Order: sequence, then structure tokens, then C-alpha cells
Amino acid sequence: MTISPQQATEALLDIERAQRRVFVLRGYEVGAPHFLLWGAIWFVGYGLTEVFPAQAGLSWMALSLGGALGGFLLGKAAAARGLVSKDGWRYLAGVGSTFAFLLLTYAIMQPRDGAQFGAFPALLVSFLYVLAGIWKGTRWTIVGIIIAGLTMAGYELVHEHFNLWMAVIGGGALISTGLWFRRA
Amino acid sequence: MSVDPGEIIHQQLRLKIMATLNSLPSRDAIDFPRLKATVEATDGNLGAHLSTLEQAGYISIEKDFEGKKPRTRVAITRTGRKAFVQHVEYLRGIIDGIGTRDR
Repeated sequence: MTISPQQATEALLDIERAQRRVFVLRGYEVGAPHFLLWGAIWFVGYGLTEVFPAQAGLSWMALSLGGALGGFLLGKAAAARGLVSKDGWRYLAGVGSTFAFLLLTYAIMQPRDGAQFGAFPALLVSFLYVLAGIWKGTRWTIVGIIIAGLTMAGYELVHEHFNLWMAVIGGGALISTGLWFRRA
Repeated sequence: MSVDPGEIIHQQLRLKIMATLNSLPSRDAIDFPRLKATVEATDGNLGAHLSTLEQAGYISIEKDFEGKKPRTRVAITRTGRKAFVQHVEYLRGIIDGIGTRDR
């Protein structure tokens, strides 16, 4: 068999494209259960905040710790299948850094009302999804834009019941994303 | 007469199939519909090329049921992984000008 340098280059590009596609699809597969988990957490967390606003800090603290632990376990399950590396501490470090950033930003910016407290994490997460999509596949970016759009729509249109909006619409959007990613 | 391994792998769709399967974790298999979507092939075309690769011992095809639905899962074999890696090295050698173009 004779292969020219041009054909060899094209073949290697085909291989690279196929591997890239596997990388993107694997990202969706690994991400799907995390979206389902955090969608449920948003539903409960924002729901509790709507009903018991005075206990919002406590309930979010407990839910966030539960989410971090759940995400860590999902990561371990994915690592056992060889889908991700086994250094699960990166996930915990990522979640921890995000919460530290949120708390420090709250300390400086001092939100005036509950809607501002609730909108900022959702916008931050949206931004991270948009950034992730630049490397990991367009679905992440689409999800980031949709979550940001829904967050802003709730903030502007139903400010008084923003937490209820985020529980149902935001949590629902994350759960739908998990199902969408699972079908990729 | 033995068939040149390059002849089997160096076909556009078979190369994509092998690249996809080689990217999976060891012992992991991929469902036929997902493989079809990944390599962007039709059912018939993919089936024909999978048969060629299976006959060469590069992949294994397992048919079972998921509930009541028939399921076909495809995985790369150790021989297939080795052949794929060697073919990639061979292609790189051609580009670097150190490999032989004929084999």
C-alpha cells in the first residue's frame, strides 16, 4: 500500500477529529448526572429559600456540602469506568474555590436583596459553562447562555418570587440539560 | 496470503471507527447508534466496515438485549489497539519523512 504525505496528513486529521468528538461526547456523558444532581439541589435550595428566607444560608450550606459530596462520588464512579482521571480532589477543589469566590464577592459587593444573592451564583455558573463550552463542546455554551437568560428573565420579570422562579425554571433547566446531555 | 494491516485500517471510515474505539477506556464498549453518530455513517455502511474490522480481529461485536430492546456493542481488541497505534506511528513517519511509503 502506498500512502503519500498528503494522504497521511489527512488521515491523521480524521483521527484527531474522531478523537475530539469522543472527548466532547464523553464530556456530555460525564456531565449529565452532575446536571441532574445540581438541578435537584437548585430545586430544593431555591424552593426552601422562597419559603424560609431566614434559613437560606443554612439550607444552602447543607445542600452545597451534599452537592459537593454527591459530585465527588459521581466523579469516582466515572473514574472507575475510566471516563475521567482518578484525582477526584480536583472536583472538590473546584467546588470549594467557586464557593470561596462567591462568599468573597458577596463580602465586597454586599447584595441588597434575596434576588441578588440568588442570581449571582446562577450567573457565575452560566459563565463557567460558556467558558467550558469553548473547549468541551457547544452544548455547554448553549446551556450557559440559556441559564443566564432565564436567570436575568426571572430577576427582571418576577423579582418578588425570583427564588421560586429559579427553583422551578432554573432547576428544571439543569435537569433538562442532564437529560439532553445523556442523550448526546 | 495475509492482508496488510494498513489496508484494513487505512480507509476513511474504518480509521474513524478505530480512532473512536481506541479513545474508549480499556474493556469499554460503545453502542452501535452512538458509534454511528460519532463517525457519521449510515447503518449499512457502518455494519459493513465493522464486519471487516471484526474479521481482522481488531474489534469485537457483542449482541445482547437491554430489557426487550436488542443492543449491539462494539469494542476494540488488544490486537486492534496495537494495530491502530502502529498505523498512526506509520502515518507520522511518512509525514516526518522517516517512514517508508510502501509496505
